[in-house]
Amino acid sequence: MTFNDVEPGSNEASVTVVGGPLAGPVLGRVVGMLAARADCPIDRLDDALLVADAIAAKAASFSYDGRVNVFVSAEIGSIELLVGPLRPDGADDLVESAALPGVGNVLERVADEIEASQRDGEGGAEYLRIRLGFDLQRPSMIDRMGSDAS
Amino acid sequence: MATDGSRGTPGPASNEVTVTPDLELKLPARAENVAVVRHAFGGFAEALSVDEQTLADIKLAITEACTNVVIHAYDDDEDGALEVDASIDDRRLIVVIRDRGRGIVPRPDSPGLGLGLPLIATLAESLELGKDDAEHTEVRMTFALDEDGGVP
Repeated sequence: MTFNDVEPGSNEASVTVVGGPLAGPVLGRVVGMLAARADCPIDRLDDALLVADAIAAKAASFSYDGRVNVFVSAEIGSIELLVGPLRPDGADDLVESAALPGVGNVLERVADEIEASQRDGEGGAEYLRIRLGFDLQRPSMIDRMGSDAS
Repeated sequence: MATDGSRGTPGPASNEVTVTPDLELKLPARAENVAVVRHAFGGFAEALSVDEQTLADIKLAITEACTNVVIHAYDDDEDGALEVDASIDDRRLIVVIRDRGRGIVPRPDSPGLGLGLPLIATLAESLELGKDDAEHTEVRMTFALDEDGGVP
């Protein structure tokens, strides 16, 4: 079972898009909308889009089917992208591919956590989890409404 | 508005050979996610250089189909999925909106005016209603892209 078989929860989405010019615009928009809905501040929204662009540009090269598979999950305080399934060693290769001359590795510089993992029964397929945390610049709307808001 | 080809006619789902979609989206069937799908197709169309009028038609039809899923497919207290597939084939955009609920059935308390499917049929080159192999209800729409559109 891959994440494509998992029912997305609140403020989550599963995106599978063929590698190439379609991937960046589509993934960026989905990530942007979910991040904005989670009250992500503009600087981290920019970072999240940078990560989305890097994944869109590179992930298809390390997947089994030439497609970019991403499960996006955003909540108040963080946004997480789970990329995969990727070929064996694909997670590390994907991270390494995000290095830019003079800039460094985009994913490592921007993300708070990067973690590669495997799941049993998937023949060595890997998943790359990228988490971006953020501090709210102001209390969320929920907090401002108060717990007893009607 | 699409200008060529026959207007959409509701009918049985296509038996054409299934191809792997260029785009697959899966989200909770909630009203707020209709905007996410709409926005994603904005990006999809941007990459395909679709003209603004065609894109507006596509977005409106997709919005109507997704709204149908949100309103009709699941009970109010039931969490369900909204699935969207899109493929490009011979300068045509094929969009499939699918649910895993009861599909589009008459609802006496429906807040809508019942204009959704006729509107989609008007905007799309073709419209098919049916079920996939797993008996999930799906709405299949085909849009003719403009002359400059197509796979980049």
